[in-house]
Amino acid sequence: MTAPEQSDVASLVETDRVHRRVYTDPEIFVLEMERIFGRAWILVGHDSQVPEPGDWIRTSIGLRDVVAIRGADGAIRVLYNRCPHRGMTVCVPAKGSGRRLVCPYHGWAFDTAGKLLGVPQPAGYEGGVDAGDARRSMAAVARVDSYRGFVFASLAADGPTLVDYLGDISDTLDNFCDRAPEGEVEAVGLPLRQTFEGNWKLHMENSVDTVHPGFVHRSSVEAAQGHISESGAAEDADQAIQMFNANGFTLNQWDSTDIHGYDGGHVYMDGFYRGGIIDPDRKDPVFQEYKSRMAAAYGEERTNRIFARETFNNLIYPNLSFNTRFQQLRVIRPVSVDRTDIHSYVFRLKGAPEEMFHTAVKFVSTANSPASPVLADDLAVFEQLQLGLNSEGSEWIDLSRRSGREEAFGNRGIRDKATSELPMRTMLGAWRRYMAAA
Amino acid sequence: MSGVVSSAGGVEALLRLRRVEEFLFHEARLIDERRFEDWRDLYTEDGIYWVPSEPGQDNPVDRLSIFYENRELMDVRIRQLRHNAFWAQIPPVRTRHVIGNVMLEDGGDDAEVRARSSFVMLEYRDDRRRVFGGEARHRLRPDGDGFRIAFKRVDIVDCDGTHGFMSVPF
Repeated sequence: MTAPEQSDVASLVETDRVHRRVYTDPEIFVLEMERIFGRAWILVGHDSQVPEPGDWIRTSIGLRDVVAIRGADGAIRVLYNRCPHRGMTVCVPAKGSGRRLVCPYHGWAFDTAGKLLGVPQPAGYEGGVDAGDARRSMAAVARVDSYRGFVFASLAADGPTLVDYLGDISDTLDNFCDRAPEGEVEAVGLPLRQTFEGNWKLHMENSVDTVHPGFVHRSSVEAAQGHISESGAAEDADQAIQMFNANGFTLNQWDSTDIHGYDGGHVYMDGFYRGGIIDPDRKDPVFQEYKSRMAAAYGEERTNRIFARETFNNLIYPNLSFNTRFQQLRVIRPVSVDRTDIHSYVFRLKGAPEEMFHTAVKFVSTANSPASPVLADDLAVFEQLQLGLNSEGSEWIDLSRRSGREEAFGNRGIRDKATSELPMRTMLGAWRRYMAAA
Repeated sequence: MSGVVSSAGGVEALLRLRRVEEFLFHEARLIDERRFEDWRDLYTEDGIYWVPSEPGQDNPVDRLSIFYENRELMDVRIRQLRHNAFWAQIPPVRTRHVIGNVMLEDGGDDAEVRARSSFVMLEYRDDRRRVFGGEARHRLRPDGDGFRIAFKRVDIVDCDGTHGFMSVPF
């Protein structure tokens, strides 16, 4: 197969439908890594993962292995994790710390900005080797910026600034942090890591598809309902059971909430959890204590505004999905056209009662563990979906539900009732623009 | 750990070890035979089943877990396993446990027996084979002629690895 032509690629996404090749063609995937993951702002980590100068984590931008490292000057840089000498992976563990990075293969040493410090046997090089020689330093990713502690990088030297890139979706990242009395969150522990045999976009689209829970999650909804009806009130059930039960929303109930999309491909949906410990206005003593700390930090009025900003899944294009109420963040990592990894992180709200963090840990474990009664069904469906997409017979996927019924929203945004396929059209619209640009 | 029960403890100690081994074999068999309700009923009313996600994890409340279930959550999981639209289990997995290296630990609460064991669990589903393995730690309360499980912790060797979906307990 030859590389798809530009016009060819753009023609794969129409207003209300998309060609199955977008999910199944390995050539398209290669082009996505170059044109989307090679240009967009991609989350590489959080400030709290590299608190001290010299701290680093190994992470990725698309398929590219990179290192996010805090320099001696306090700034975070993102370096290609590749020795300029022979191409060896310089940072092998998942994380580390030190004033120097030393290549395991032949001992080339670099400072925290990736600049060459020295090589063994410099006399072997004609004219010697200069410290700081750019050709012999670890290459830095073109642009790095952070927003409220979330560190993003772009491989493209040109393009919108991070703030322009995020646009109005930054409001949900603000809300993620504003929910901490100290206005900051902290990444804690290792992420849960799941994998499925399907295209990365299937996960992104599914996170904001409000019609699927009634079908895909029927078994966990009915298991929770069965348990509750035999054992007592839903409000007294375990937090996880309340979560399973919440997916039992009817389509009319879903349509009492809204879904929002922005030009840049970012999407978010309104919150829908009601009652018990998952209610946005919990009545328990822990939440009352948390609320009073929030009010002390922000004042009553602003606290109420922060809590009223009640969203569920928030997506930053192309591969970030987070929940502000339970401090969950998923990074969707494409591996190949039909293989995707998901890394799920939990954050602590600085200044909040520790029990708020325990609720978040339970939420993230319940929703993201490979043994999650909810996620297991999603992943199983993605794998069968990928197999279905591989079949010929019908080349196009229909995305027309509630098409054309959107209303304008905010800055370069649209909004509609939550059962709309607006999120898929929004993300694929962004996809088309990235992929059509040479 | 104040001591390991060994054959040096004589016949009594060996019989005790054997009783615990038989209980652990029985528990594994209930899972492998998909007798999940009977498996759940081995647990005390306040029993906990826990699979950490980090090596050496201290607790299930401030770090993420793969499984962390009380009787309530076990009940919901089993109802889902019995549901005819549980997509992750169509077709259902087949499993087989092998349990060995069972050691008893003395000390701690006298009313409880502490056991450590190693296990391997083969899993087959939809033309895919997987192997899980690691260490289980049981806290068992004597109950009539047998035991009930007050707490079971399972450390799979790849707890912090990347996993596809899983649905039945180890």
